[in-house]
Amino acid sequence: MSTLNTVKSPAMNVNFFAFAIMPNIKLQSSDGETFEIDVEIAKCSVTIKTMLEDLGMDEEEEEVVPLPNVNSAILRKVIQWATYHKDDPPPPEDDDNKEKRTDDISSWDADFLKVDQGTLFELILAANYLDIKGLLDVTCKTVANMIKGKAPEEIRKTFNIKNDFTPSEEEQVRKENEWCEEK
Amino acid sequence: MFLKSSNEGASVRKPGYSSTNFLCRGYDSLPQSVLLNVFKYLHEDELRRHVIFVCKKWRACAEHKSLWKTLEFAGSKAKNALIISRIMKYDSAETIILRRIKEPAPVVQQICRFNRNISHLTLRHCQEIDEDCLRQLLETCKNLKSLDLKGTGVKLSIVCEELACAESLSSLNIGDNKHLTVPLVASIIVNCHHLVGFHLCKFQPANKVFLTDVDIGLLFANTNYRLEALTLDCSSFGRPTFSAIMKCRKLEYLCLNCAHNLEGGVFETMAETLTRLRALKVRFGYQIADDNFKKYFGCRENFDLEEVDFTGCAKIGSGGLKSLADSCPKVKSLVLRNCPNVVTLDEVFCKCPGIETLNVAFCGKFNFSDNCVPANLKQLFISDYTRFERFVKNSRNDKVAVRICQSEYNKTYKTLYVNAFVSFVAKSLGLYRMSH
Repeated sequence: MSTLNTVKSPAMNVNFFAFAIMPNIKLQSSDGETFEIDVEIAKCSVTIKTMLEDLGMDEEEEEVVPLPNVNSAILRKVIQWATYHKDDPPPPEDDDNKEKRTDDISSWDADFLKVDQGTLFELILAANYLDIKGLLDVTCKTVANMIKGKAPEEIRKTFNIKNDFTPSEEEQVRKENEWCEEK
Repeated sequence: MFLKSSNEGASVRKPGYSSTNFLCRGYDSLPQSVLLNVFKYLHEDELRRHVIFVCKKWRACAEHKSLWKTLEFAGSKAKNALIISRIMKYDSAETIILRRIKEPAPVVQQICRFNRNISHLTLRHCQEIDEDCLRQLLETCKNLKSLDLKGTGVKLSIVCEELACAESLSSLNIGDNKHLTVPLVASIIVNCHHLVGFHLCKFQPANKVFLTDVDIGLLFANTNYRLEALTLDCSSFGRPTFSAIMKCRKLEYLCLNCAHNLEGGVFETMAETLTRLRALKVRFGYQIADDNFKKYFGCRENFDLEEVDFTGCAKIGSGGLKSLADSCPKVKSLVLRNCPNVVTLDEVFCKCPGIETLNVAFCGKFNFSDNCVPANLKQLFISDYTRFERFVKNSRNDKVAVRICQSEYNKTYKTLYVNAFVSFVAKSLGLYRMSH
């Protein structure tokens, strides 16, 4: 552990894992289930990757990475996603000028995300906590698609949200946002 | 230690907590960073009309300034105090669109104060815009790339120098301006070397001296290598102008209004040189025969055209449209307003699945076939209820905004949405007809 702490160059880290005898890592979900997966797949999560690099978690020590924010059902889904996408090129840096496109979800991802709202919600939280940009983007796009074209009440119903505006507050919001004649 | 980057929304769960228990948790508990990631895929209009009303947390997120790249204000409801407060709040907006705003000058001054990095500014039909504030704008906002002054009546002769000095300004729309004259147009085109987009329609100079073929020949001799976007009224032009336009090989956007002097044979050959076009608008090209359209689109296998507008091209018919369907798979907007020889568009709908806007107003012979409507349509322009009924009958998409155009001579329309109410109205209209 301590020796790895001194390794700062990412290139050397890659080498280290490439020569490792057991390229697997154990992840433990919040409900105690352990998943053994390829280190390279686990490292699509920036959170896990950083843990491994910063803390030098060494698989020879048979250490288990606890993921107290992800339950086993969701972790299984996340691993399924990460395994399918393991050879994807790294996601492009955020570009402010990019189009607001949401119709570019691959058919595999679209099928993968045909889940109930609760699971989708948890997948988003897991992708956010594990810092998996690809999964976070595609889940967020899916939610955006579900918002598009819906009236506020429909949105609340779809996502189980309570309206916490009083009628007068709602009127105020309406007034503040009447900048354009209705199209 | 591993919890150091844990999200704000979820607490550590007890073992055995299954995902189904979460059905009761609302999406309002998503952390702000995640909500922003969702909202960035939504259009500003969607945020303003729907999302901010959902709940307080969503409102707070939806009003985050990183989401507001485009601000659009129009009409009498948009009061200056409100516009100015929004411009201050969303000061990283890249595009600001003001249409028919009564007092645009204070707004422009605020843009100069709070949003000097703006890239695109539209001041359409803001009659009261004055030259001083325009000068201030051009001097302050050094990143301004496009400026739309259509319908403003601003005296451009006063700001000519500033226009020429605004080095980042690449696109200018100065249409519908009563103070514009031929020498002024020439001076702007010649002196603004950085202009690659030039839009001039409804050019009606007070002295009745219009641009001629000779003017265009001289002007385009200097600019044809750089022009990427062009809008012109062509009623006073003949073949030399169209030949000059054909030499602008970089054109991606071409809009020729009043193109009745454009001969079919000349139109046909435009496809050969203008290979980069993404938008082609030829309005009132009476002389262009169906066969010319057929040859235009037959000239290459694949056009990149996304916007096609043949308003008032009376002769376009089945041959030209078939050819268009075969070679323009990327079309998003198809305008065939006032084209009396358009009968069916089945093949176009089938081969151009991306059509979002369709205008078939005042196409007397056109109607929708059974089970054949564009699948991804968002906007439909028609001019009577018979087609509307037929569209409703055949469309499964109830999010389409249907614009019922009122007159051939202006652009006014009524909007109806194909929702339950409207289909009910259409049905009762149908019943009404049956009972008579």
